[in-house]
Amino acid sequence: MNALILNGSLKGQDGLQSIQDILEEELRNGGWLVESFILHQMEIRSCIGCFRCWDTTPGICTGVRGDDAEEIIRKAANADILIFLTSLTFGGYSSELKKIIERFLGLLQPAMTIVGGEHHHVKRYERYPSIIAIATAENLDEEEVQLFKKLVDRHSLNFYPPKHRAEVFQSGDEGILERVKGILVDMEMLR
Amino acid sequence: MTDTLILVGSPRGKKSSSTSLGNHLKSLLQDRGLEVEMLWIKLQLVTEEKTSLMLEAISDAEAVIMIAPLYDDCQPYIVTKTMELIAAQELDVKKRRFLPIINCGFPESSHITAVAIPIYKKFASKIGYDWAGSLALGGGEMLQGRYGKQLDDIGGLGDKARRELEKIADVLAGGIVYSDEALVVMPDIFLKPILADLIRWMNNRMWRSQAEKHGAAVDARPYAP
Ligand SMILES: Cc1cc2nc3c(=O)[nH]c(=O)nc-3n(C[C@H](O)[C@H](O)[C@H](O)COP(=O)(O)O)c2cc1C
Repeated sequence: MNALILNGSLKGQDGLQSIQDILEEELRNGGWLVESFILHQMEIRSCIGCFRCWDTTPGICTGVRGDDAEEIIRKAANADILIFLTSLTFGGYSSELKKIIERFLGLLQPAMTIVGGEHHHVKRYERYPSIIAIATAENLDEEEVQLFKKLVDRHSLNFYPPKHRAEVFQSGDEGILERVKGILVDMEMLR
Repeated sequence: MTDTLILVGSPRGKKSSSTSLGNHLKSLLQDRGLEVEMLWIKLQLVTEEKTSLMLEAISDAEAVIMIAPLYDDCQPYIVTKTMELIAAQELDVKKRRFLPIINCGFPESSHITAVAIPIYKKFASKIGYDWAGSLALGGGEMLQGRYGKQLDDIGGLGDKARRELEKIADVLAGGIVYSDEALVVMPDIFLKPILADLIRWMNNRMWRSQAEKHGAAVDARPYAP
């Protein structure tokens, strides 16, 4: 079983590193193969909205080439669990995390179908990774916390994870270790 | 100080539905005697110097109109990056007005109002902007900005957007608040069950044949194990 951790911390802010460390340790102890990327240390260019991953080279981003994104996209497609780490940014993802998420567009097909009364894209692959999204904030603003959970719910409607979960922690909270373990157990990632 | 700064947040840059909306709004505002500056975030973020110029323009603007697409149910990377920079630099924009105009690919504007608009609202309140309303436009690809089309080039398909931009221009010129509006670009008849199903079927077929033109299968699985 493969876990892929995408750490979307901004340059100069390493507050998410301790959560990445806990996740790596717990998952490895649970028998997972874990790979992590600190996104701001990689060369990742941003999506340009050209749709070449749909109409020219289906499934492969060729609009923005030659950076580190393709390796991450390929690994995301084959992971069993994808873990997003981000600072809570007005209730959403950090720019660093958002940059790679946009490059995942080709993991879906352009064709649309109706799900729950709304248009959504059709799956390209049979299976997709489950998603755990963890955000941290200096001060917890309940509206932002709820927005983040809703964002991950909505995003999951478009990404087909078998399971998904979003949590927000206060930076430096001493209970993080236990809560992270709790999430993994709840999601049956650890026994 | 500029009256209005239009920030275009499309990662496509100048050939985008956001640009087409921005160009149209710009001329409506100028017709009403307002001074308008328009910047493309994508073109400004390329160097530190241009980024600083954009931030200066933001702090000089009485009102900022953010015109951008929806990407993955929220802001595109370049827009989030800009919001982070504004927050990090603690730009003093208190009591200035902020109004996002967001378009998305799916026909339903609910994709935009669910999370992206509340994120913009949270941003505005944290930074100190006065919220001047918002517009969510479903079916934004119908504006054909990707092919360089302007709102006046697409006839009736642009009617609803044009009407709404007129209202926004009146509101900005009159200094009053617009409400939070959401609509679908297409005429309502396109949304009736059978026609909507037909349009979706044709759209799906179009993608298939585009891929075939490039010698590829639209449902290829290049990363399958
Ligand atoms: C990476 C990416 C993610 C997108 N995510 C969404 C989405 O979540 N919901 C949606 O309705 N449209 C989505 N779209 C479609 C765009 O919102 C749509 O193409 C829009 O009309 C582009 O506007 P622009 O030309 O101003 O950039 C996405 C497009 C891209 C390239």
